[in-house]
Amino acid sequence: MEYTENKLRNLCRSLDDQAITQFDFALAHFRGLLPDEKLRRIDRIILSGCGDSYLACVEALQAFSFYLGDGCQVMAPGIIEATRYLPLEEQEPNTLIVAVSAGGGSARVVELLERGKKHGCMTVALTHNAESRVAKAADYIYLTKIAPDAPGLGSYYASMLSLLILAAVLSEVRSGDTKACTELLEALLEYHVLFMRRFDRIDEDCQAAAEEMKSAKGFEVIADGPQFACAEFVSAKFAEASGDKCTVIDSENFFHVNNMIAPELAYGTMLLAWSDEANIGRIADAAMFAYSKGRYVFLICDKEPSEVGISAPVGFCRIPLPREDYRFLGLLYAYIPGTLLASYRAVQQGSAYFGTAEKVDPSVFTIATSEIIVI
Amino acid sequence: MNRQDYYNTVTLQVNSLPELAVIQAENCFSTAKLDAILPREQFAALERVVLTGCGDSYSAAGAMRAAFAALSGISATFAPDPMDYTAFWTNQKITGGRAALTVAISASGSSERIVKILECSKDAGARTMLISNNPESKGAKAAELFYATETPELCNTPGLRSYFANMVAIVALGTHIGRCKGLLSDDRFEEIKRVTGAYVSSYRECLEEIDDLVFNLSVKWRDFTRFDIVGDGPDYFTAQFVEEKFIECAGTQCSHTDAEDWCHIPFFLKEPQTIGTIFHAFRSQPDYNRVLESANSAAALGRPVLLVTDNVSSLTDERITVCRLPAPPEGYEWLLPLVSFIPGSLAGGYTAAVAEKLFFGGRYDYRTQKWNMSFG
Repeated sequence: MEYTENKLRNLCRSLDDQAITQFDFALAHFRGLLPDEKLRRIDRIILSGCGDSYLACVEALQAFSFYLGDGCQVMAPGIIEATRYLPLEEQEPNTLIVAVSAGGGSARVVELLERGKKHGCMTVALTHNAESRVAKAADYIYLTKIAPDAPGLGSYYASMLSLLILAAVLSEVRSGDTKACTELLEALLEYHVLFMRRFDRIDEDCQAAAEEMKSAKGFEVIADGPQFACAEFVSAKFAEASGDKCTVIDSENFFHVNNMIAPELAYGTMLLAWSDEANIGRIADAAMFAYSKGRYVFLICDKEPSEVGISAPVGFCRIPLPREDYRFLGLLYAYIPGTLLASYRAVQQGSAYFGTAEKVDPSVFTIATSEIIVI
Repeated sequence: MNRQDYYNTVTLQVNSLPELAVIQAENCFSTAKLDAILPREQFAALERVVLTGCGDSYSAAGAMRAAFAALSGISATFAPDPMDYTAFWTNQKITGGRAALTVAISASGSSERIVKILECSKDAGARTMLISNNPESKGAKAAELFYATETPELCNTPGLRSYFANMVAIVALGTHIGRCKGLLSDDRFEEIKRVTGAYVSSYRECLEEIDDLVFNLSVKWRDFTRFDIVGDGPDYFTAQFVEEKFIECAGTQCSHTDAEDWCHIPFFLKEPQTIGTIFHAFRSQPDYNRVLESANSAAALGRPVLLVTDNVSSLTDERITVCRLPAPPEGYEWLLPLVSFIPGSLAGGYTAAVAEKLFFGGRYDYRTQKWNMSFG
């Protein structure tokens, strides 16, 4: 099948040109955005957003842990958790809330910022839209360079990268060691080039896998730890691009529950892992089990299936392994193969992105119109 | 269709919960048993707790995490999934450099992952406990401390009774730790025990009505192959448990999410009229309004919606099927996860039964309560 028009695939490809520009833009913008004195006294950081933006926050946690260690409590609760359930002291002047919304229109993100202000927190809106209600609700506006796209891809990348830079700048200010951002850029460049050099091959592998999974009724991604949010992002792209349901499960709970989704032959199963991490054995078990049940299995990893203990003839897409110390950079790219698969699926199905027009009726699509309650 | 013809082991277990609640409260809130597990001053010294398990037990941990944190006074209480915990949590993250306890939860206590959870916690310097119904299990042997749920024998397939028993055990443990820390009195401990049993027992009066409503809905939903289950806060994990029941019983593609993210992602799934969607909305929830908005959106998209709630709201779209549960007593809203899984679980069982599907991919016959391991 000829795949001529594939916007989502093209968005993936376009990251090649945008990554470094986004890095430079974010670094220039965040440095000096908050006074150093404020950055030094932060002892708690709450990152949140809706949909893809929330996932970008979860992906960034590994980098915050790398840069800030135990010196600061960093969390990425879901937006509903952050706005309505997460306990906040009456006043938390040393808490930084970073609310992420590429377009800046989400009611719940505004609510988070207003909640933060009510509790005396420092509030930052990470957005592309300086005039948006999200931007206006924050103390500080941290702008992204890449404009919101649909389905969100570049904006997701921009949000993640901006959060990494925020962590690195915080580390510099708090430690006095000013090399963090330079070293981050070097590591990013190294991995970015490695990944994008393979892009065409990755694209071919995913296109071939999409053909193999053409008759699938649904999809599943199996991933663990930090890559779990990448899997959730892939699931979101399936929903938005082709309208297909794509479940996400960790490799242990796959054995307890999701392996029973039937008929097995009808589900395309992707597994996402790095070969040198502690979960790889269980990922291999899950791949073998899914294969034995008749599912089409597609491994996205830095090593061949046979090298990680998978003897079955499963599909495979190789992605480069990031350096161990900068492993979190892999999360900026690990979702791309799954996203490419979703993009080809949408083309196969002739699906209009985001389904039909009634879905944008504001009385039904309530992301912007939802009632704001500040707790 | 006659509901009695589709009686299955989910129905059986749901019907047993009112009686089980009293027994489980008695067995789990046993002061003698809790005191025998660990001296009170050692419970009192705990500063950090991890609750985790696999499958249903992980859901039980998540559903009761916030209640445990509030009752025990240990705000640093976490409920990670078992792979994240065993493969990615560092020793430092496990203990946080504080007096830490990891509680592994497993009805059978036999899973290799449970043993791994306990071993890696021990290696990190945390104390370890297994909550289980099996004192002879590998997990029990690997754990430093053992807390027996002592759930009476009855069919537990799929595992509703064990899920319920584990949640009661988590509540009782949290209450006891709160007592050891001097945050709760003996009287309060006894009161929580009594209310826990009494609240769930009170469902005896309404189970028939719930069962009938869910059965009739399941008849309409029997050909669906996709379901979304939505819940927030503790009920995010109720939604996860219900998802598990749909998969185990009916083998359908099912996932769980919260009410906000539902609007950002599953909202866009194609053929909405064929996706059974269950929302959990309780009036004490701080985001009750958002769950209702999302449920109404789902109905407007043409999705068949079941709303599990303890409230009647004029704002509910009339196309929504409402399953009303008795509200918990004031101040005991955290007990809701002990019952909020009932309608969704019944729907999982009935959609399978009316579609003539055996549970667990055809391997479990809910009529004879027998496994056929040669199948599949």
